[in-house]
Amino acid sequence: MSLNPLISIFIIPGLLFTSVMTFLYAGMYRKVRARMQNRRGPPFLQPFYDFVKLLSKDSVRPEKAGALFTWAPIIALASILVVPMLFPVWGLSFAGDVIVVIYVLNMSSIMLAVGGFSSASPFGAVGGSREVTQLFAYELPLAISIVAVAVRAGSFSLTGIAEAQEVHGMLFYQLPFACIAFLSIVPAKIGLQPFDIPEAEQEILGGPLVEYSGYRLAIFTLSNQVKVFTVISLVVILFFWQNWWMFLITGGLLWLLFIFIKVISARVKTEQSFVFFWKYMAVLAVIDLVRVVI
Amino acid sequence: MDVVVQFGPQHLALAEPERLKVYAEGEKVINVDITMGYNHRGVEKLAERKTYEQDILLVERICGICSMSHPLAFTQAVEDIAGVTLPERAEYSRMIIAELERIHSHLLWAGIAAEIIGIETLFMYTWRDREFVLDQLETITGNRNHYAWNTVGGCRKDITEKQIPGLLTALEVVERRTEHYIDSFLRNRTIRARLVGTGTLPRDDARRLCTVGPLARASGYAVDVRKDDPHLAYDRVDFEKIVLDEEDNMARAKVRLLEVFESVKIIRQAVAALKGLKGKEIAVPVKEIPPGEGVGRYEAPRGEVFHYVRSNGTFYPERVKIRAPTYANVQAVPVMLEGDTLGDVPITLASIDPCFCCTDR
Repeated sequence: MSLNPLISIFIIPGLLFTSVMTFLYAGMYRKVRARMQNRRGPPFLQPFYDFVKLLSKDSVRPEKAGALFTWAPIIALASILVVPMLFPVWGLSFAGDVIVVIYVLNMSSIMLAVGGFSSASPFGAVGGSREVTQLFAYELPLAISIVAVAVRAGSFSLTGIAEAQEVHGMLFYQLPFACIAFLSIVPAKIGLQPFDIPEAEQEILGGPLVEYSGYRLAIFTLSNQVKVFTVISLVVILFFWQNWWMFLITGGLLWLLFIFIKVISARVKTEQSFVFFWKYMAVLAVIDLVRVVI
Repeated sequence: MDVVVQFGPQHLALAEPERLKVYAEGEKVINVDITMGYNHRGVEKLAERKTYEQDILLVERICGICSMSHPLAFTQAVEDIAGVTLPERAEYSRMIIAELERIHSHLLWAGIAAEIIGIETLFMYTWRDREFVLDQLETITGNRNHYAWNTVGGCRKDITEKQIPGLLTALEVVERRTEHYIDSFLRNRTIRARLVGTGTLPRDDARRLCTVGPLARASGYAVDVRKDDPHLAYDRVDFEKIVLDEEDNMARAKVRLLEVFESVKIIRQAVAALKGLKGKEIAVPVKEIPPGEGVGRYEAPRGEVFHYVRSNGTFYPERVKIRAPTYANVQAVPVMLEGDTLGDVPITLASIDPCFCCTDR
């Protein structure tokens, strides 16, 4: 279902579609969370207003900041924006390799850490090291469950995985354990409770983002919001794919689930998340990989 | 990697200015330095230049939360010098306001602690329910905080019959909601992961460092001025001293939430007792303060508040000395943090329910 690559890149599922969905998700997050917490919440478009406002503000660069201080948010946004272009909704089907997706997703997390380290602040450094630790924690179950999906679907491309599900039904039914492992990784990947350890505001003042302001902060925040839409869409494509409009609905429902989990849980500690991912989630993912391979 | 992380003087997790210098090895805390005094306002010296009546309003403003406990301890010290016996109705009505203050302080603490470990929902809910108590305080005293309830020799105002039904209804709501929070949130796995086993303060250390209040009681060191040295009408009401020996942050959360029920119990008994004292006087006139020394102690929500007053027979006190509970408890923070991770610093510090403006006076 691939049209002109330019349409894929700029309109759907590329920049335009992604931006709309990103602000939709971000607005939903603010509003739903507020209603669950007995508040009214901001207007639905508040994340968008915030973005525009931040662009017009001064961006302060710490004197001792490293060279990557400016580039980290830009690279993070650029790399995360690549992922939606590969989605099987009129995407670039020839390039939609799931291994590429993993790399590009990690790039944005690594850039967050780099931004933290290069901001010359102890809070940024601690946040950066937490981000890297977190990456090591969830990378193993993430890779294993993706490999299980790819082996089951017989293809490493997102389009191939989606097509296999259109024929044989959702992979969720066939790989429930891998799916649970993947779902548990989502809050860690997009920085929500219970795994928002790198950005813990009350402990390390927002970690990597502590020294960012103005347009740099706007870009970093936007890249994190794009990551939310991207990662959740990825879950749908890998495990719940039916067709493109069910893709939107399932994505929205999953986002509600993650907001709910965020609202009812506290932030765990680094070593606790490590134990959780390596001891339990990795084992769950391995179970399904073994089942698939045998 | 050795890092020195500065918590404060301005920090998101702390509402008040004070500095915590945390020496960490990676994420592990090695040592903690605490610097205070950013909030010093010279209340003790100021008190010597004001009359006793004015001083009551002054000490009330030492703290925004313990704004009943400080004047209570101060008037107690002055009454000690003057040798006044309080009328019974004043004793009960002082107790009601003080216990209402304890409820709202503990709910406030639960919200702040929840916010610090990253669960905003509990923060929103406990602060909503705290409003019921504040509303009652406003109806009875006229103010949400800084109640201006005390005077030397009794109370300035009286609790009227009309205010009782609203008070009892609010208590019922708060009791039911608190039960719900204890039930659902203290069993929440992510909250347990943060609170159980962190910020441990062994009983011996709690005793050695002279800790007071819920911090001491959560470490199995049973101090409570209301039981140990009963004044007001605390020896005439039935309530329990909540003592746990789990020694960690979770125990402190439990002690505070369970104390809400005890406070509700006390207020109900006091309200019943007020009915039997209808029409009795609420204050005895105190003509003059003779030379001498007096001491006032009260179990504030955070621990023991201690006031010492020396009089030389004039209208002005010669010396006022105030010790706030945080001053005693903050010494225990380095011990509690030893061996914990950087992520535990804010919640462990918050678990003593610090009030730095009380401490700096």
